[in-house]
Amino acid sequence: MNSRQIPRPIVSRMILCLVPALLAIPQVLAQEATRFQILQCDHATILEVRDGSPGGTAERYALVRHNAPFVDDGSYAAVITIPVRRIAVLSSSILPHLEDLGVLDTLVAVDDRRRIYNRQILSRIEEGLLPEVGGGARIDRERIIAARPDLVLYSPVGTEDATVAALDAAGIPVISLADWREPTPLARLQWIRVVGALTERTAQAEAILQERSARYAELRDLTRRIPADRRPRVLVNAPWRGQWPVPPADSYVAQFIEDAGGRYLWEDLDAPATEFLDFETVVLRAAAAEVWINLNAGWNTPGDLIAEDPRLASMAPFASGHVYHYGARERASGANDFWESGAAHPEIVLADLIRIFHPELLPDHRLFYYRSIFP
Amino acid sequence: MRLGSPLPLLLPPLLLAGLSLTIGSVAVPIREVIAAVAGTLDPESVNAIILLDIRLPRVLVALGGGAMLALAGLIMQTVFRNALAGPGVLGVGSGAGLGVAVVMLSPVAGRIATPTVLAATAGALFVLTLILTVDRYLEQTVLVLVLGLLFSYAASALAQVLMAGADPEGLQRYVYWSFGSFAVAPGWPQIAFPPAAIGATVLLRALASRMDTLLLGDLYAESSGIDLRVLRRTLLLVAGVLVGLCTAVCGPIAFLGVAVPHIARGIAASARHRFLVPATALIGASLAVTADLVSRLPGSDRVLPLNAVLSLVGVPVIVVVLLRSGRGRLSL
Repeated sequence: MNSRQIPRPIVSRMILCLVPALLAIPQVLAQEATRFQILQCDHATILEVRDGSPGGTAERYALVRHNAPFVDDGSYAAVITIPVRRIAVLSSSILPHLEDLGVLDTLVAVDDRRRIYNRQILSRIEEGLLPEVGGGARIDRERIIAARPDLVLYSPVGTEDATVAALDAAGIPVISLADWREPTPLARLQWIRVVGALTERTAQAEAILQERSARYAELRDLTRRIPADRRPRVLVNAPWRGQWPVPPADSYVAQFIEDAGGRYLWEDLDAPATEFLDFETVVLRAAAAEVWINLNAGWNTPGDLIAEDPRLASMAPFASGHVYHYGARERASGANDFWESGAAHPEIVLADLIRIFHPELLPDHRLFYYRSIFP
Repeated sequence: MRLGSPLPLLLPPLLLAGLSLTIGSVAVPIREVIAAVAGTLDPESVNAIILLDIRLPRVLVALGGGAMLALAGLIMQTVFRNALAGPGVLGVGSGAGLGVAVVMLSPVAGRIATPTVLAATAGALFVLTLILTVDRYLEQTVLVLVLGLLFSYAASALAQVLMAGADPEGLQRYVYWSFGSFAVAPGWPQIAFPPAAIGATVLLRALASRMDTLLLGDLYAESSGIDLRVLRRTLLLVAGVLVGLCTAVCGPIAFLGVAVPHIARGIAASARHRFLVPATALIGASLAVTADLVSRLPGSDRVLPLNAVLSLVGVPVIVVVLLRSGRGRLSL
C-alpha cells in the first residue's frame, strides 16, 4: 500500500499532530461531527474546525495549558490558553453547553437578549452584568473588545468577515462556529466537546454526550422497525411570499424526521443547502402529507396561518389538525428555546417528534419544544 | 412597423395571462385549466388550488401591478419632462418602501393591509412632492435625477435605522417583502389591482391631451388655458397612489416604471398620450406577467428573483435611452 492509499482521515490526523507536537500519538475525540475534530497531543489539544466560514478552509486552533512547553509553528489560526476564563458567545446554540458544563460564569458577552431564552443569562443582562454586543450586521466590535474576552465564539458571515479581522487585530482569538451546518442532531450536540475542551470540562462533556446520545439511540430504536407505510409523511417549514424553504434530504431536520419514524416529503432532494421551492410544487407534494412541522416565527395559531396566507388552510395536515410548531418555549421578545437548549437536547426534540408521529410509542411524554397550533 | 392604435396591444397580456395560468412548475392538463376557467373544476382538487389560489392571484396582481407601475413611470417622465424619471430612479419607490418599513418594523407589526398601503402611498407622495419642489427651483434634469438618487439613499437609510431596532419577526417579514414578488396570497390585491389599473388608464386617457401640452413647456400649456399646478398635482397624486399600492403589496419592483414608457414610444406611430397611456399600461402588464413567468422557471421547482429578471429587460432599455439622448440631454 503506498501513501496515496492510506485513508485520508488517518493522514490528516498524523499531520495535525506530528507537525506541532513532534511524534505525539493522536487521539481522535470527535467522530460523528463533520465540521470539527479534536486531537489530543502531548502539550496541546488541537481543534480543527472545517467550513466555519461558508466557503472557507479548515482552521486549526491550539488549546494549550498555561506554561505548557508548546511551540507555536505559526500554522494555527490561534493559540488559546485553557481553561478559558472569559468567553464571548455570539450564538445561542452554544449557550446551553456552558450551562450544562457548569461554566456559565465564564460568559462575558452575548449577541442580543432578543435571541436568548435562558432565564439566568437574561437576569445577568438585566442586572447590567453581561453586555450585549449585537449580532449579524449590527455587531459592535468595540463592545466585544471592551468586554475583555479571552475568546470569542462566533459564526462568521464569510471568509473575509470584518469582525474576525478586527478581533484578530485586537489580539482576541475567534473560533468560527460551524455547529449549525452539521447534518445530524447528534453531530450538533457533539459541539459540547468543543466547549468542554476550551473550559477543561472534557469528562463532563463526554458524560453528557454519552447520556444524551444513548437516550437518543433508545428512542430511535423505538421507531427503527416501523415500516414505510406506517410512517407519516411530513411537510416542513412555511412559505414567505410564494417561496417555500425546503431543507435537503441529508439535513438535520430530515434526520430528525427519519429517526422519529416519519417520512420526509423531500427525501429525494439533493442540494447543498435549503432550497426555496415554488409554492405550487410544494402544494402538489404536500397533498400527500399527514403531519406538518416547523412554521415561521410567530405563527402559533390556525388564525396566524390563515391571516398570513389563506391557501395554507387547504394543506392536508391543516385540514386534519396535524400542524405542530416548535413555539412551546418562546419569549415575548421572539427568543425561542428550540434554537437554544434544543441544540443540546436532541433526545427531547426526538421524543417530541415521536410523540407527534406515533403517540402510542411515548404515551407519557409531554411535548416540550413543540406544540399543536390547534387549541 | 409602428402601431397606429393601441388596440392590438390588448392581445399580448391576454395571451400571456393564459400562458401563465397554463404553465408552471407543476404540469396541469390543459383541459383542467379550461375547466377551472369555466368553473367546472372540483375546487377541492390540488390542481384547482394550484390554478385558482396560486397562479390566478399572481397573474392578476402582475397584470395590474405591471400596468400601474408603468403608468406611474409615464406620469413622472411627462411631469418632469425627464426621460429617465421613474419610481425607482426618482426615489419614489424608496419613499414608498420607507412607509412600508415604518408599518412592518414597528412593534405593532403590520400585515399587507390598509395601513401598509396608506403608509407606502404617503411615502411615495412625500418624495414626489420634494422632487417637484426641487424641479421647479432648479429646472435641471440631471440635478433632479441626482437628488432623486439622494432621496432614495436617505429613505433606504431610514429604513435601515428602523431595521436595527426591529423584532426578528418584523425584520424577517420586511426582508422577504424587499425581494419583490407578484406571488401574493389570495385576497383583496387580486380583486383590486386590475380595476385600479383600468381606472388609472381611463383617468389618464382623459387627461392625455393635457399631458401632451406639459411636454411642450409651461408657457405653451398656460397659453392653452391649463392650470398647471392642478394638473401636476393631480398627476403626481395618481402616480403616488399607484406606486404606493404596488410597492406595499408586491415590494420594490425594478425597471418597469422607467423602461415601459420607452418601449411604448418605440412601437407607437404617435408620441401622443392618447396612444401612450393605454399602450404603456398594456405593455407594462405584458412585461410583468412575462417576467413573473420567467422567474418561475416553468418545468422546474425553483424560482428566480423577479427583480433580476426585470433588470435583464430594463437595463438594455435604459442604455438605449441614454445613448439616444446624447450628451447631457435627457429630456423627452
